[in-house]
Formats: sequence, structure tokens, C-alpha cells
Amino acid sequence: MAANKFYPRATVRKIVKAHSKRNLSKNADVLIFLDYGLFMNTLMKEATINSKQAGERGISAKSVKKVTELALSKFKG
Amino acid sequence: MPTFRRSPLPQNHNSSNGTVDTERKTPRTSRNEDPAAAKQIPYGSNKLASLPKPTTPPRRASSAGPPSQKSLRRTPGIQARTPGAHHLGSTRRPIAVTPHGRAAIREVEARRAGLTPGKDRRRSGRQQRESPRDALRVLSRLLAPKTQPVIPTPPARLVTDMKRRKYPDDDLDDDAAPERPRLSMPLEDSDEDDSLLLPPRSAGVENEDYTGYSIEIPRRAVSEQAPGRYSRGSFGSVRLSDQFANLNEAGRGHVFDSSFAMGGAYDDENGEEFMDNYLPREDTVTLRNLGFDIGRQSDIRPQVLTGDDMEDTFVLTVPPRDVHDLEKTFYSNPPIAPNDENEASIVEESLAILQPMEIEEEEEELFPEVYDPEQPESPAEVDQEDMEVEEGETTVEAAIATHAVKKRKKVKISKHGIRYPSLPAVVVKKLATMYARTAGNSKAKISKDTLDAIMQASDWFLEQVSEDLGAYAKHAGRKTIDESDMMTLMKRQRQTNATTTAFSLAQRHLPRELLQELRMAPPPKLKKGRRLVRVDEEEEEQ
Repeated sequence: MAANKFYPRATVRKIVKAHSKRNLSKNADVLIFLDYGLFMNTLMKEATINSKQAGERGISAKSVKKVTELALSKFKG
Repeated sequence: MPTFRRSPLPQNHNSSNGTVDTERKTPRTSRNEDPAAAKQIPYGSNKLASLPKPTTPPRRASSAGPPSQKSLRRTPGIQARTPGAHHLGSTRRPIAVTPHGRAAIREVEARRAGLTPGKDRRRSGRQQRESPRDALRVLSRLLAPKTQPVIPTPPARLVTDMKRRKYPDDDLDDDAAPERPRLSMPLEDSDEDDSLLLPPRSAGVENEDYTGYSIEIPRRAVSEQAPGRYSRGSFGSVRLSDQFANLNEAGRGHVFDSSFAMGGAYDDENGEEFMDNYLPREDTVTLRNLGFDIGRQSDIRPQVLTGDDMEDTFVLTVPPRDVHDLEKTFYSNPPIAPNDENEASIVEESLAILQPMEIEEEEEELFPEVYDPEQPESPAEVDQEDMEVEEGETTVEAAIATHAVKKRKKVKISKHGIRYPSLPAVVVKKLATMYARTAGNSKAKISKDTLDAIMQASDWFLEQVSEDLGAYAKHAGRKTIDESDMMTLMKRQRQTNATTTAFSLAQRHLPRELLQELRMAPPPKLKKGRRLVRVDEEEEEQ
């Protein structure tokens, strides 16, 4: 379905399970994906700002890498 | 006509005319009337034309006066009654109400009167006379006739000088007193004087070549050397640039622990010496393997950008390899054994996986095969796994990949030794494009490099998040990660607060299908509801 294509549910569950070594309850992964979306939002926003400041046209990998740390630190639990 | 409109006291001229009663019109109305009416009283119109002078003397006076400020103040009533007067008025000058406007008008008038600040200077040239250079010039004029050209030193002395230089063995005592240095420069025959005036010589250090090396090359403090060196548990957080050094100077890798095998940032000798001297080598690994639960373990850090330069020169000696060999090695070797070498190799492997795909796809056939026998890989997922291994432990195979260009499933290994896939690039790209668009980058074209960086970031993010979640669940004594853990996490991330709930965020960010699933999930809703209900009850009780 469209949702499946948009949201790789099994993949997310696998990833989280691998990292935390714990099972996920039924719908927790949706929230995780939501959080991921928020993270992506932050990341892309920061990357856009960064690339604009650097005078690039699109979003370069460099600017993404630069803001990754910032975005990750924002999403520290 | 404008004078009609401006005249604030129409009754005045009417009374002065004498024809007042029949007309009974203000200038405004007379203007608006048809011309026929005006023609009926021809002399009246003439008089109207000549009216303004007697009727508006204050106005006139004000406009005629040089600084209009006072006169303007004198007639405030007029101004108030005819606010639009200055638009059509005969006065050229706009009425400045604000102090700045008044100041501007004053300025303009002062300029017209020739009171510019630079006027005096320009006219009299006072400044030039006062400058020190002029004083010098005057002095030179006074002194010029008396001065004589400097007499150059006689050539004979020069010869003696030369002799003295020719025989440096002479004692200093034999020499005459050293010649007095000349303190002035002769005006003429500069050729001979060149020998006397030594060119300025800098300190001896600069003449030598070794300064280039002796200058300290910027180094990093130990504290900023490598983020997350001690407690990093995951392989995803190993920097790509770290790996390159190991490849470039192969054989060095076994010296360093994997967790800080990051010599790549330092090409020069200083950097490496520095690394050798100051970095702890195997302590981190042993600590980790001892099972200490040191604080927060995830400590994901993004790729440090110093590695950017390295990426171009980086050559992947990444081989494809055979599934069958892998099978053999997999079954013959235990999975991850907690020793240094093994860990290092795993890190390298994970790094290899993290490399951009295009390199693997294009150049796979070119490289001889290198792989780590201790690698735990199941044949199903490996298919064709590229690896980078340290040289000491590698076995090189001469096999060449036949099916080189093939899309592989990338598999990474978490710190718990569990393999996990990364998010599909399609999804990441879609999300990234969407959010880039909302961020204002309307024509968001996400290149491959950018996508790789984003994928890396999202890998790190998921690792960080899931470790946090695991910690929460562990703290709660649960075996499973709940929605409540997720709620706690989002609250701690400051994503949700009193005004924004997770559901409002979900409504904004999630597609409808997922939203429905979230809606159906009872626990978080119940929790929220319960809190609200409790508050209500308390209020009712009170």
C-alpha cells in the first residue's frame, strides 16, 4: 500500500530492535517514525539554512554533515 | 485657482468684495460650479483672481521668510484648517512638522545661503597651510639654499676596507678603530655606497629552510580529537575518514584500537606522532569488553568534516566475494568474539558498508578480493559483501567477481551483534525532499552525496533513539519498548509539550494510514486522558 511504501515498518522495527535489544510494542514504531520525521524536518531545515548561508544552490552533502551533529543533539533523549 | 483652495478665510474676501451676498460662495464651491455661473459675474472672477494677496498675508509671509519655522508656528490654525494646503500651495517649501524635517529644511536653506561646512576650507586653503607637511615644506625652503651635497667617502678607504675583508685572519687589535658608521646618505654616486650600506639582513633563522617544518602544524586538543571515542558502542558512528588512513598506510591499523583508528585526519608526521604519543590504545576496548556500563553508550557523532578532503583521494580496495567462501567462514568461525582485532575488523566492515554505493558498484571488479574470515555473515543476506579488513588478519583471495554491479542489501551490525538494515533510500529521499520543500528549498534537488549524508544521519538518529528507548524500557523494568517510552522520549526531546501532543504532531507529519494506527493505539491516549480526567475530578471535588 501507499503507507507501506512510505513507511518501512518492518525495517524500522528491525533497526530499533537491533540497537536496543528489546522488543517493540505494537504501535511504538509509528511514534518512532514520527520522531524520525521530526528529526528529518529539523535536519533539512538546518541544512537548508546552512547551505543558504554558504551560498549553495541546493542542499549539499557538506551542509548536511555540518548540521547533523546539531540535529542529533537536539534529539537526544 | 490654488490660491482659492488655500485661502482659509473665504468670508474675508467676500466681505471685502462687496458682492458677497449675491454670490455667497466659498472659492471651493465657485470652482465646482459650472462656468456659466462664473461668467455671470465677470468682474467677480477677476477679483477672485486677485484676492489671495490681501486674504492670506500670514501664509505669504511665512513662505517668504527664510527659516520658515517661526512663521509656521505663528499660524498653526491655518495649517490645521487646510491640511492639504501645502500640496497645492504657492509655497514651494513643504511644511515640515517633524523636527527632522525642520532640520532638513534648515540645512537646505543654509546650503543655499552658502553656509556649507567646507566652504571656508575650500576658499581659504587654511587646512593645507596648517598641515605638518606644509610646515616641512616651509622648512625645506628655508634650508634648501644652505645645504651642500654630502661628500662621499674617499675611495681609498674603501680599498682598505676591501683589504681588511680579504684577510680575516688579522687580529682585531691590529686593526685601526672600526670606521664610524655613516648616518646619512649621500645624494650622489650611490654605486660605491652600496658596498658600505649593507642590505638589511633578517635573523638567521629565516634563512634556513627548516622553518617550514619547525612551525607548529595545527593540532587538535586531546579533548576534541575524536568524539565518542571511549564510549561508542556502535559501528555506525565510526567516521569514514578514519578508515582511510588505515587503507593508505596499511598495517598501521592494528596498532590502534578500532574505536579511535582515525589517523586519517592527520597525514603529516606530527599528527601521527601525536596520535602515537597521546592516544590511549587498547584501554577503551578492554573497558568496553569488561562490560562496564559507562553512562550513555550510544554517543553517536556525525562524521567530522575534516574527512571531507580525504574522501576524494580515498581508494576503496574493496573486493566482492563469494558466497560460498562466506558460508564456510561463517560456519567455521564463531560470531563476534570480544577481542580487539575482531572488533576492529567488524568496524571496518561496517564502514565498508557505509561507503557510498557508487564506488562499490563501479569498481567492484577491479579489485582483488580481501575479506575477513572471522566475519559473521549469513549467506542469505550477504550475497556479495564488500569488506575492508586490516592487513594483518586478511586473507587475500584472487577471485574476481563475475556479477559485479548489483544492488546489494546493506547490512550493518549493531553493538549487540544484531544485524540490521538501513532505511530504504527511497523513503529517506522522499522524506528529505518533502521536508526540504517545507524548509523553503522549493526546488530541492537532493544529490546522491546529500542523500548519503542524510542516510548516515538517519542511521545515527535511529541508533540514538533506539538506545534511548531501550534505556527507558530498561529503567521501567520492561522487556518491550512501549508507546510510553516513546512519549517520554519525545517529551525529553522537547518535541511535545503542554500545547503540542504527539498526536498533533502526527497529524501534521504522518500520513493518514499511520495516523489511524496511532489513533487506535490506546495506551498513550489513555494516559493523556487520565491526566485530564484527574484534574477535572479534583476541581469538582473542590
